[in-house]
Formats: sequence, structure tokens, C-alpha cells
Amino acid sequence: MEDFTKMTGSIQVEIIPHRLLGADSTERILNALAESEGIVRMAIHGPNLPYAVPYGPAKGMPVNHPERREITVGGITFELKICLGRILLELEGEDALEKVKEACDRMMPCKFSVKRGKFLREKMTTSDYAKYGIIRDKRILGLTDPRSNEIYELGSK
Amino acid sequence: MAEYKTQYYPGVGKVAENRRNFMNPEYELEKQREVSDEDVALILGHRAPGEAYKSVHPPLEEMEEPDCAIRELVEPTEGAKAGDRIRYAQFTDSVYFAPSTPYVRAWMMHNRYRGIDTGTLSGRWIVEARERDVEKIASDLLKTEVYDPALSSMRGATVHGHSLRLLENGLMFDMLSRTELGEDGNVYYVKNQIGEPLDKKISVGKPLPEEVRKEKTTSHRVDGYKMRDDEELLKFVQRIHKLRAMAAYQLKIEE
Repeated sequence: MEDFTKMTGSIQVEIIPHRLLGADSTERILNALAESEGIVRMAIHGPNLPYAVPYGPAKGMPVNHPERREITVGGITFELKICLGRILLELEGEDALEKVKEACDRMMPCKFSVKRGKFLREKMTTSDYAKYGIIRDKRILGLTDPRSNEIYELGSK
Repeated sequence: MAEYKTQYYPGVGKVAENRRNFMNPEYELEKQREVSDEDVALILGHRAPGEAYKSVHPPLEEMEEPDCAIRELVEPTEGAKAGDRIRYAQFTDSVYFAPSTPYVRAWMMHNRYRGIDTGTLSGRWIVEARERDVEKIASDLLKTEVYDPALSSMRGATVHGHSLRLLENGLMFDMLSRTELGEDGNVYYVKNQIGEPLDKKISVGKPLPEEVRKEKTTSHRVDGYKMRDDEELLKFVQRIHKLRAMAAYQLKIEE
């Protein structure tokens, strides 16, 4: 399988805010990034905000975390289930990186770091195969949460 | 012969001094906030406020105890006298200059309280004792300089957050959202330590300012007071490390 970034000449960056961000800030930042040109793929990471208490004496009780709510990014509404800890981006090139930095400077409520590197995987894992079957669309690789039990129709399965 | 003076912790730096203060039972911890006994019972969640303490044996006065020199020598705690159940309290401290750390809390317990069993994990600290003793300990810890409302938290389960970045509002991350920052700047408990919602919000006061945190902290950090800056402490730790390594390999080398 050929390296996706080599194929397209794209670069990958990781944006790490120095605080964990809530739903309001996340929505603002992601919308600013969505408007910025040159982003090929985007993924967000962070600590989970569970719907119910996962273990302990209060197991099963609803958490009702104020930061777990629906947000709208680029016209798509989805439920944010994490506190935003880092944003992974694949960009078309250096020009796009400057635009992303500008958007972050404008929208980020705290300090942040930007790292260049390789953050999204290129090859399917055994878990991917077990969950989704063969994934034809290479852009999806690395964007799925390997620990999630939610079922998406991404592959041949 | 000179009188023996307890040496609680080595070092000449301010972190070592703060640790010594917490461990020394003669040092009176500075009281910083008011939390009522009723509120402490609500946060602990073991009994409803005003409810009688459940017991596992009759009061000691009513029990015919065997003749024993040790029993006469050691005065039982209030909870043991009444025959209370064993209950627990658990705290989590953030790595971002929280006033206390789990290990310091455990050392502190051994020096300041009796009739307790304490345990430390990476980011949390638990104490088990008779119910009314636990309430007294938790109350002391919540009210004094050992506690920062933003960076310390009572968490009976799902404790993680101690090593994570802080939230935007400066509170330690809690996936069960047990505490919240009110509009008046005070931190409120909205759930008890295991994550059950409370009927009322319990205020534990305002977070400490950044400069006070750095002055009062008991953790060494590279961006604060570094451990390597305290030569005496460093030498002591190296000595312990060396002796432990020697003993473990049973290398009969004299120091």
C-alpha cells in the first residue's frame, strides 16, 4: 500500500492546546479550521466524557456532563463525546499550515503548540479489518477510534 | 544526651519545608475555608446528614474486653469507641502545583491521625477508618491549606484527571463532573465523591492564586521548584537509592 502523504504530497500536523477545551471553544476552533482552505483530513482526540458512570458504586448513573453536547461544524451536527485535547490535521502543503496557524491564533482561548510529524496511519490494522472489513477509501484510515464499539459502515463488512 | 528531634523530611528548599509542615503534627494547618459537617457527610455519601452512624459492634464500654495491657495503653479513637463501620475518603491531586500530593497525604496521615489505613496510587490517595473518624479527617483536609478547590478533589471512583491538562476554567479534569466553577468564582460540589448528584451545591471556596500555589506546593516541578535545586534532598534520595540497590543484589559493600 502506498503512503497517502507521499501520494498527495501533503503534510501532517498536530495542534495541542495547553488546556483541555470545552464544547464551545471546540465548536469555534473546528469551524474556523473548516473554513480554512487546504485541509485534507481532520481528527480530534481527548479524554472521554461518558454518558453513564462506567464503574464504581454509582455505575450506570447518567453523568450529564455539561461539555458533552451536540456541536455543528461545517454544517454537520454531531455529538461531541470528548474534551478536546489535540487536533490532528493533514494539509495540502505549507501554505495551508500558515492559514491553520492564523486560525488557531485567532480562536484558541489558551496557548497551543503545533508539531509537524506523522500522526495518521497508512495501513489497515487487524482491529480495522475485524470491525469494518476491507476499507477501500484510504482517507478514512487513522480517523477511526480503535477503542470505540460503535459500528460504522466504512469497509466491506 | 541531646534530645531527639524528629526529622520528617530532608531538604532545604521550600517544597521540602512544606512537606515537613504537612507531616509535623505540631504544625497547625492553616484554615482557609468553611465546610460544615453536614456538607462533608453529603460529599462523602456514606450516610445522610443527621442519620445515626451504623455500627459493627456495641460500644467498647459495653463490651467485656479481656484484660490486656495494650488495650489499656492505647486509647481508642471516637469511631472505635462507638463501634462504627469502616468507611473511606479518597482524594485526587493535580500535578499542576496542587498543595498536596498523594504520597505526602499518606505520610501526613501516619503522623497526624490514629486508627487509619491509608493507600496511595499514582494520582489518588485513599484513607480508611471508622466512619466518624473519616468524616473528621475529610473535614480537616477540605478546610485547610492541604486542599485547593480547583486542583484537589474528592473522588471515590473514576479518579483520572490528576496528570491531565487543566480545563479552560482552571479546574482539574473530571469525567464525572463532580465539581463546577460558579459565576461567583467559588468551586461547588454538585455530586458526591462517587458521582451521585447532590440535592444542593456545596461551596468549597475560591481556587488559590497561581503565586500562592507555587509557594505552597509539595511537588517538585521543572517549571516550579526543581528537585535538583535542593542538594541536600538530592543527596539523601541518591543514598537511599544506592542502599536499596545494594541490598536488593546483596552486594556486601560497605558504604
